[in-house]
Amino acid sequence: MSKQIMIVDDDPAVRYTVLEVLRGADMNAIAVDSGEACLEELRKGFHGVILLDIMMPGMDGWDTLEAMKREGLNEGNIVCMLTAVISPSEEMDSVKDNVLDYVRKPFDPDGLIATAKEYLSYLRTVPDENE
Amino acid sequence: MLASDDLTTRQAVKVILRKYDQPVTLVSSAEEILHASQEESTPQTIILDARLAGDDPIALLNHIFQTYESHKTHVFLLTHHQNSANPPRQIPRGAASVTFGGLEDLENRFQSRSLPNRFGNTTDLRDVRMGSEEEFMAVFLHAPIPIYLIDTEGHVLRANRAKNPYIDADGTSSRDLGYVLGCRHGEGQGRCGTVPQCKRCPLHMVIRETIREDRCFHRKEISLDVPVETDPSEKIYALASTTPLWIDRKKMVLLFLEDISELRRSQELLAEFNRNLESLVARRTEEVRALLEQKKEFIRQLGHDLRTPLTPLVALLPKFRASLVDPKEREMLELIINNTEYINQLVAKTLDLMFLENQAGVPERQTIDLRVEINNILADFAPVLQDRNILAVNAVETPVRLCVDVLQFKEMLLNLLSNAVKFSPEHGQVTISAATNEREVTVSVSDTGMGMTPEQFSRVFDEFYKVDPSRHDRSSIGLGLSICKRIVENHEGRIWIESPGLGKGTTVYIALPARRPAEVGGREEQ
Repeated sequence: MSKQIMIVDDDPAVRYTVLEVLRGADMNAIAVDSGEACLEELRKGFHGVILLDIMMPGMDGWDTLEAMKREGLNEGNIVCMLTAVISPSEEMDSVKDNVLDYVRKPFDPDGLIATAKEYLSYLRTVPDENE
Repeated sequence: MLASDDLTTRQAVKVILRKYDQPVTLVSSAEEILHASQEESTPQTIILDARLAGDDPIALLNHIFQTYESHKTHVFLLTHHQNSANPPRQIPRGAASVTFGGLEDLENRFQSRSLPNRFGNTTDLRDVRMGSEEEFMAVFLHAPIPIYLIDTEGHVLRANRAKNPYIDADGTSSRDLGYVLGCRHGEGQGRCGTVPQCKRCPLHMVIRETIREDRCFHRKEISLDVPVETDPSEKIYALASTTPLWIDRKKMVLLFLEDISELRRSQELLAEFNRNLESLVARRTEEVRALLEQKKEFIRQLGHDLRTPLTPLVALLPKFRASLVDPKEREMLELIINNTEYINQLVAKTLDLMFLENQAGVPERQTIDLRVEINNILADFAPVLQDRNILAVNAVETPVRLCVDVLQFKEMLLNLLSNAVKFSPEHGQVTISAATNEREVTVSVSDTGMGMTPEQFSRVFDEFYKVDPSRHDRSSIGLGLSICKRIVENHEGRIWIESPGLGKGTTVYIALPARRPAEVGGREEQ
């Protein structure tokens, strides 16, 4: 699998930034603008780390996560919430509920690269552990 | 007149009467009491030995009242019960002019001159000498509360003139009570008991009850259907006090009627006012709650809308550092990056404060060792400290346990240390110490920096307050101490600042409860 990071965000500037930062670090990344498009990519076989925005029109980040769980699309993937608004309680709930981490916008580019690399390293071991 | 067939009793009573200079006629049987009326002048008081009255004292008393004019004669029923305070219960009729008691009570009565007492046992005549009927009438007529003497048919026999135009100057009347009071009903005549409304008339009921049950000093709050000058549709509220009386062997009712309409209306107004006040407070509270919710939502939205466009700025601007070679352009880029970072910090701290303010108390407490936490945070600060040549000292030498929210506590220490370092000169010193007593752990962060004036002490915790009035300082947001204060308050602690003056350094103190309040409370209960 070549595409290993997917950024889901309705804001084009954020999508552009994340792609620039990650590609600048020689990482494979794709960007989609909605929860629906994210699910579509997963159905098509995307496998990797998903940076999921919470506040999106229509289907928001939580809805997308629910839909992923319903279809079993989250299995073997790592979800990391990427958001500008999050309160500590939400953070904790989300971590408990199939979300590995959260990244606050605006993010430090080096921090994002480090986080993405760390989760990609988990990814390779996760399917083995599950089996 | 003393009526007793018992020698000892007669002797004892005679001794008392002699003491108070009271002439006495002695009789020794029930018949003699009644016969004496034909021969002698009416006795003021008949002291009747209860044993003489036999098994049916009521019958004898009725005979006595038929024989003597009850309004002139008072009967003292001398009982021999050990506890004379509990008179025989079966003697309710004519109670207004009968008194019960033992020898001691009899003596007390003479001593206090309350015999004869034709209005029962509370009319105290000690200070009013009833020398003549004129005097008595003067008192009666000029009493400030309307008083009515009513017969069992509801005719007003006598009334004083207080607030009553229907009473003759001498206090006599031949009218119905309804007429005297100006009742709306009674076929325009104010005739009591003649119309259906009378059955529900509270005054009528009070009078009936008094007659039927012989209830002395019966008090009841009632409303009356009588016109009020200011508003004919209004009702009069009155306090009706009644007592039964026997006069000329006829049963009467003495009625005191106090108009308490003003009082009732004031009470109603007050109650209405209180109801309005409650709903007003509830409405305002709801408004404030809605505004706070609105503020929260506004900040949340603003936070989102500011952070999203900041994302490309914060993430992409530093990329140009490597590509720019012209020193002038590099300087411009640093200025842009610094200001972007400032806005980023401002937004982050504002949102932090908002979250803290919306949080009641502390979400999750853990026990930490203050000494270890300080060492960790000083390690994080090492590069800055080295850069500025500032010496940081952890003066906490022994383990100090604190039960706190770790994230909040670390944020607070970080803010305090940042401030201390920021305001310290090159080669300055920052010291973190702790003092414990039974109740509190006090942590202090001291610097050797610019110091403060007492005026500044109280203001530094205000949101967006900056010591530099020109506000050009881009290294400070003006929220650090507000955040610290909120965190300390979430932990039920106190925060304050001390400084010997400008240029002499500053110390920030934080006092946190030594244990969680619940644990302290538990200990105290034991």
